[in-house]
Amino acid sequence: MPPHTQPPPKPTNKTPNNKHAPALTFALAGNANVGKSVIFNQLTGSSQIIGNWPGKTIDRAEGTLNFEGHNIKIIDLPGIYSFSTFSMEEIVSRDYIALEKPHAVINVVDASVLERNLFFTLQLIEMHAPLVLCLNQVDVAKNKGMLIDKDKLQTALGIPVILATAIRGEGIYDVVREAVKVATHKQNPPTLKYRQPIEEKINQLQQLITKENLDLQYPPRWLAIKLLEGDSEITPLIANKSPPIVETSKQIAAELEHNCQEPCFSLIASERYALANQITATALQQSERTNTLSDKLEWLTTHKIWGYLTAIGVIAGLLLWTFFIGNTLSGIITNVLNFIYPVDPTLTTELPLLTILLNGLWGGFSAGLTLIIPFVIPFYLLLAFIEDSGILTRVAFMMDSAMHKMGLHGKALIPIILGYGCNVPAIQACKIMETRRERLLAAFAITFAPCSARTLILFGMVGLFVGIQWALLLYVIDIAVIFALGRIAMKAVPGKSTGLIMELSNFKLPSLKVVLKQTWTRTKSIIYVVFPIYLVGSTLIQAAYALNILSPLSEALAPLTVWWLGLPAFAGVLLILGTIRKEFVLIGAVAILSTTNLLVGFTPVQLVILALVAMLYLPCVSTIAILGKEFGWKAAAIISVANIGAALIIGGIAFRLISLFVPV
Amino acid sequence: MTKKLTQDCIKTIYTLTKNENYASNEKITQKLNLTTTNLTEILQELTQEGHINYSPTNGSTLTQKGLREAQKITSNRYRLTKFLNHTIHNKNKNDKTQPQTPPQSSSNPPACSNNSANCVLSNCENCLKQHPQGFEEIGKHNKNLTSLYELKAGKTAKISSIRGERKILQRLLDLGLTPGTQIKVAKIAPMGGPVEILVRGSKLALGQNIAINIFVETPKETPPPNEV
Repeated sequence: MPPHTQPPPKPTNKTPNNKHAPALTFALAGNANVGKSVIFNQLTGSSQIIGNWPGKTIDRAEGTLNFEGHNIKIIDLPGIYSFSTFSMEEIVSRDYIALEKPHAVINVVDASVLERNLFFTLQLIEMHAPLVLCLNQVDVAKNKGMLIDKDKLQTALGIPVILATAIRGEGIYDVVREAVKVATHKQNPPTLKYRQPIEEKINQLQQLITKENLDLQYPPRWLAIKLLEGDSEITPLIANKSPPIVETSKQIAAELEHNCQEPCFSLIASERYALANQITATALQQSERTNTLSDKLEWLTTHKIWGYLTAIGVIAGLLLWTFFIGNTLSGIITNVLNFIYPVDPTLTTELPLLTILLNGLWGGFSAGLTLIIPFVIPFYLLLAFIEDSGILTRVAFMMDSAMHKMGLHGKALIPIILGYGCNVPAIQACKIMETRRERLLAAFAITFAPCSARTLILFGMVGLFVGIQWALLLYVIDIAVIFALGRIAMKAVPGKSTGLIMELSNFKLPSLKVVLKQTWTRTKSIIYVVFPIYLVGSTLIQAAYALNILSPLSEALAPLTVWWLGLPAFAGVLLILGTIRKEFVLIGAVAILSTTNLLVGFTPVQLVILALVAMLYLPCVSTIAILGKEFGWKAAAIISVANIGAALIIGGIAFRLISLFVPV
Repeated sequence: MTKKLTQDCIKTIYTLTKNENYASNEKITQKLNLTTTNLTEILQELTQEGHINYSPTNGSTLTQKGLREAQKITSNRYRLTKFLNHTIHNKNKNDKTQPQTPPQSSSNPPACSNNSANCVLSNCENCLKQHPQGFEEIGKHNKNLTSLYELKAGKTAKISSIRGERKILQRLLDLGLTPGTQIKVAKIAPMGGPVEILVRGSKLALGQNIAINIFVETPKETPPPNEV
C-alpha cells in the first residue's frame, strides 16, 4: 500500500502562478454513493450536500481548483450504474463525457464493491474517456477483508489507478496529479476485448462504422456496441446518417440472439460483467472477514421487531433531541435578551413610529434568536448525522410494503424523511423515484411532511406553551395524515407503481467534520437570508397592525378562523403570512402580540389548533415554486388546494373534538 | 391461411417455449389439431413475417417481434376470456402475494394443461396485471426453477431467467443480475416486504413484485437417505 504522505490539495483563490496555463476540465463519474461529492467538496472547497444514500447529486455541480499552476474546473456528475438510456442522469452524464469531452474523467470507484463498479468503468473505457481510476474507500474494503492489488488492476484495465480514502483526504492529491498527467499527455485509449462470438460481431460492425465515416462524436467501437444493444438514442442517430448500418446491425443482432438464445442487450451486459468479474478476480484478494459493528447494526435495523423500533426511535429521537436541546438553549437566550432589553408590550415612546420600529425590529430579532435558531441547529445537526450514517436505505427497506399502500415504494421514504428538514430539496430529491407518477405522489406526501419550519411552530407554540406531549401528538397526527392523504392521492392519480430496486448503503460512523459542515451550510442560509426577512417582516407586520390595515383582512377571514377553527380573528393574518415562510406564523404572532409569551393572545387549545392548521394548510412559497418547476403549475395548484382543504377540514374537526373535552 | 390459425400458432409456440427451449412441430400439431403439412405452411409464413425462428431439427422459437405479437394476442384474449371464465378461474386464481408459476414448473403444470388458451392465461395473469405494456424475458429456462421470492434467508442460488419490462431488465442487468450470476438471500423484510440479496459484492433490495419475476436455480439438495 503506498503511503499517502502528500496532503490533499488546498483549494485556493490565489491567482495561478502561470497565467498562461490552459484551463482544464475534469469530470467526476461513477456509481451512486461512492464518494464523488466528498472528493468534489475536498477539491473545490464547496459544500455540496453529502449523504449516505444513493442519488443525492441530482444536477451536476461545478467548482474550481487551482492545482500547481493549473486552473481546473471540476464537474461532479450524478451517480449512475450504466450508460443505458433509461434515466435522465444517464443520458446527461453520457452526453457530457462524449460530447463536451472533459480533459480527464476521474472514475470514482467503491473498492468494497469492485466488480459492480468496474462494469461502469468498462463502459467509460468503451467511450474512450481519458480516465483515472480513483479506488475510493479502501479502508472500508480492508475492513471487509479485501486487498486490492493496484498494479494488477492497472495492467488489466490499462488506465492509471490511485488508492484513496477520500473522507480523510488520502490519495486525493495523487488523483489530481494523475488526472493532470492524463489531460496533458494524450495517450491511446485502451481497448478491452470481449469473448467470441460477441467480439467478432462488434468488430465487424465497428469496421463498417469506421469505413462509413459517420462524423459522430462517439468512438466507433462504442457505437457498434450501442447498436447491438438496440440503444434507443444511438440507433436513430445513426439511422439518420446511414440506414444500411442500422439494418446490418439488426441482422447481426438477430443472428447473435438466435445463436445464443438470448436478447442482445442481456448478452452484452453479461459479457461486460464477465470481464469485470475476471479483472476483479486477478486484482482482488478476499480474506476471512470478521463480524464488524456495521454487520451488527445491519442486523438490528432490519430485524422484524427491532428494525421498526429503531426507525421510530430515530424519528422520535430527532424530535425529542431537538426539543430538549432547543428548549434549553432558548431559555438561556431569552434570559440573556431580557437582561439586555426586556420585551415590554406596554412600552410606548412619544413617537409612534419609533415604537413600531423598535418593537418590530427587536421583536423579529428576539423571536428569531429565541424561537428559531435554538431549534434549527440541533435539528439539522442530527438530521445530517442520520443522513450520513446510512440508516435511511434500511428504513426504506423495512417500510417498503407500507409505502406500497400509498402507491409508492420504500425509496420514497428517503425524500420524505429529508422533507423533515426542508421540503424544497426533498422535492428535488424525488428524482430518485422512477416514474413521474411516483415523483408526484412522493412530492405530495412531502408537502405534508413537517419541515423544520413547521417543527418550529409545533415546538415554539405548542411545545413551549402547552406541553411537549401535545407537540408530539400533533406530529403523530401529521404522519397519519400523510398516510391517509397519500392513499387518496394514489387512487386519484392513475397508473401503476414500479417495484423497489435499491442499493443498500453501508453503515458508517458519520464524520464529525461532514456533519458540522452540513449543519452550517443549512443554518447559514437561515442566518444570512431569512433573518433579515424576519426583521423587516416583523416591523412591517407591526406597522400594518398599528395602522389597522390588517383588520379588514382578519374580518374577511373571520368565518373561517373564528367560527370554524375557533381562533382569534388575527390568526387569519398569521396564516396568510405563513405562506411566505411558515415561521412567519410564529414571528407574526410575536410581532402582533409584542411579546414572546404567546399565552397573552391565545388559549392553549387555540395554540394547538393554530399549529395544526399551520402545519398542514399550504406549502410555503418556495415549496409551491419548486412544485411548479418540477411538475407544472397545474399540479402545484392542485396540491396547494388539497393542502388547504385538508388543513381546514382536519383543523375544524380537531377543534370540535377538543372542545368536547376541554373548555375553550 | 386464416388469421385466427396463425395467431393460435404463435400463442402455442409461446406457451410451449415457456417450458422448453424449442416448440417442436409434433407438439404444436398435437395442440392445434393440425396436419403436418398445414403446420409447415403456417410456420413458413410466420418465419417470413419474422415472427419465429424455425429450425428443422429443433423446432420453433419466437423472435422479439413474435414475442410482442404473442403478448398482444394473449392480452386481448386475456381481457375477453377473463370475463367469460370468471367462475372457472375463481378457484385457482393466483393470489397477488403468491409467486406466479415459474416458466418451468417442472412437477405440476397449471391445472389447465390440455387447454392452451387457459394455460397462457394462468401463466400470465400476474404479469399482465403488473406489466400491461408487456414484458420480455432474459436467460434460459432450465429445469427446477423457483422464484427468488420463495427462497429463504441465507440461501444461495443461481439466476436463471428474469421477466419484466425492458427498463427493469436493463436496470437489473446493470446492477449485476445477469443470467448465471450467483446470489445469496440476506434478508427478507416482514409483511410482504422486499428481499435483500448479495450480488457481486453489493447489497440490493428488491421489491416483492421484482423478486417474484426472477427465477433461480437452487443447488441440488442431497436427497434424504431412504430409511424404511
